[in-house]
Amino acid sequence: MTAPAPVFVIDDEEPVRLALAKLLRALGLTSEMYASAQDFLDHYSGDRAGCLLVDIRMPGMSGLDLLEELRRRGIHLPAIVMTGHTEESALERLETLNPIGFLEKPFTLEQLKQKLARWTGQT
Amino acid sequence: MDQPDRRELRLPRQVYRLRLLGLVLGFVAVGSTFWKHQAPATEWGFTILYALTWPHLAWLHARRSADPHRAERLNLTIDSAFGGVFIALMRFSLLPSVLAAGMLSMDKIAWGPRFLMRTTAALIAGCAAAVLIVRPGYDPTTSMIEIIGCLPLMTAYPLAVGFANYASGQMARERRKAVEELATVREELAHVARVATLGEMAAGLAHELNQPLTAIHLEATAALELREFQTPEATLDGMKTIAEQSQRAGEIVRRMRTYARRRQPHREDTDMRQLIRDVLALLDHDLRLGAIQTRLEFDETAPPVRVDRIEVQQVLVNLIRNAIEAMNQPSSAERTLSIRTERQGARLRVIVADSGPGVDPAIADRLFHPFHSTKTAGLGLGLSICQSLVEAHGGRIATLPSDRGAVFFFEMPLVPEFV
Repeated sequence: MTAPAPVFVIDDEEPVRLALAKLLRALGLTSEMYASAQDFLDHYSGDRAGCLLVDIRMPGMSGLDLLEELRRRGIHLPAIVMTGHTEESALERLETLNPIGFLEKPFTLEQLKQKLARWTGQT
Repeated sequence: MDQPDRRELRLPRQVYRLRLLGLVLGFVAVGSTFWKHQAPATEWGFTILYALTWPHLAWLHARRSADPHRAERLNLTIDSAFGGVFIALMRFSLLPSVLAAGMLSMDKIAWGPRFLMRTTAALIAGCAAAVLIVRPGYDPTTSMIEIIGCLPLMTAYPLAVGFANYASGQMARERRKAVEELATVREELAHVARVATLGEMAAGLAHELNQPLTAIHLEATAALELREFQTPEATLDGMKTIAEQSQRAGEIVRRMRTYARRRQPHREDTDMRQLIRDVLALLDHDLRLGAIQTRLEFDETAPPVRVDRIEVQQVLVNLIRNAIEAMNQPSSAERTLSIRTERQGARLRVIVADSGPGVDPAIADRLFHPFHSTKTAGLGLGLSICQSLVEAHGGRIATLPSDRGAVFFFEMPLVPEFV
C-alpha cells in the first residue's frame, strides 16, 4: 500500500502544530508542518496530493489568502479550516472557497477525526 | 507693572475690613482715655485723621503693589508701630494699653513667631518715638469711662478675627475636598477607558486564549483516547505540554485582570523597560497579527521612574494601539514600531514611533482634545486621558514632527534620589 498523502498543517502556533502532528501520526496519517502560509507555498510543488489543515488567522498571509492563492494557481487541495473566532466577512469568502470542513478552536479530537474522515473517505 | 489678580487681593481685602473695624472700636477706647486726661485738640485731630485715612492708604498700597501679600505684611507692621504711638498717647492707661497690645499681637500670630517679634519691635519703636516727641506723661490708672470705652474692642474684635479665620479655614477645606474629588473622578475615567480598551481587544484576547486551550485539549484527549499515547513517556510528554500551555493561558488572564482592575493610584519605583515589555506582551496578538516588527532602544543607564504602573501601561497601550492601527493599511510595505527611552534631566522620555502615514498637520493641535477621533469606532478619549495621566505625574506628552510616520513621546519623573 502506498504511503498515504500527508496532511499539511499550517498554523503559526507551535504547540498546536506539535499536538496535531502527534495526533495525526496516531491516527495513521503523515503530516508536514508549516509555520506560515508563505512557508507552505515556498515548499509545495504543484502536483502533490494531500489535505490542508490550515488556521484562518495568521500574521502575514492568512488562511483565506492561501486558499484563494491556491485556487488562482489552479491547485485543488481539500482543506479543513481552523477558526479562532467567527468573522462575518471571512465566512462569506470561505463559502466560495469550499473547504471540506471547519474546526472552531478549541476543537475536540472527535471533531478532528470527523473532518479528516471526509477526506480519507474520498481517497 | 502687572495688576495683581482678584485672588491675590483676597488677603488685603480681608485685612482691610478687620483694620477698619479695629480702628473704629479702637477709636472709642482711645477717645475715652483722651476724655479722661483732657487731651489737646492736636491729639484728637491726629487720631481722627489716622482712623479715617490709614485703612484706605493700606488698601491702595496693597492694590498697587506687584506682590500684595508682601505689601500687606508691611501694612501690618505699620499698624503695630501706630499702636505703640497710641499706647503712649493714652499715657499708658493700663486697660486700654494692654488691650491694644494684645489685639495687635493676636492676628499677627498666624503669620509666625518671627513676624510677631518684628511687629512687637515696631510697636515699641512707635511707642518710644511718641514718648520722645510728645512727652505725654504716665498715668496707668484706668477710670470707669475708659473701661466702658474698651468694652466694644474687647468683645467685637476677637469675634471678628475668629470669624475671619473660620471663613478662610472653610475655603481651604472645600478646596482640599474638590482636589480629592477630582483625583477620584480622574481615576474612574481612566478605569473606564482601560475596560473599554480591553473590550476592543476582546476578540484578539479570546483568540490568544484559544491557542493554549486547543493545545491542552488535543494533548489530553490524545492521552485518553489513543493507545499510542498511553505509554508513560508519551503521557509525561503530554502532561508537560499541558502544564506549559495552562500557565501561558493563566498569564494572559492575569495580564488582562491586572489591567482592568479598579484601584487606588499608587506610585512606586519602576523600571520603565519592564513596563514596556509587559505592554508588548499584552498586545502580542495584535502585533503578530499586524506582522509588525518591534524595535526597542533603551537607555540602559537611566534610573527607575516613580510612577503608577497601571497608568503608565495605559498610556503605552494607547500609543502602541494607535501605532498598530496606523500601520494597518495593506499598502504599508514597512511595518515597524520603534520604542526608545532616553534620559532628559530629571525625567525619562519614552518615544513611540510608527512607520504609518504620520500625523495629519491639519488636526495636530486637536489630537489631545477629548472626543476628537479619526477612527470610526471609539470615543476619542484615549489621548486626552493619556495627557491627564501623564500630567498628573508632572510629565508631559506630545507629538514630534517626523517625515516618516507618527512620533509620540511622553516624559515621566525619575526617582528623585537618583537625579
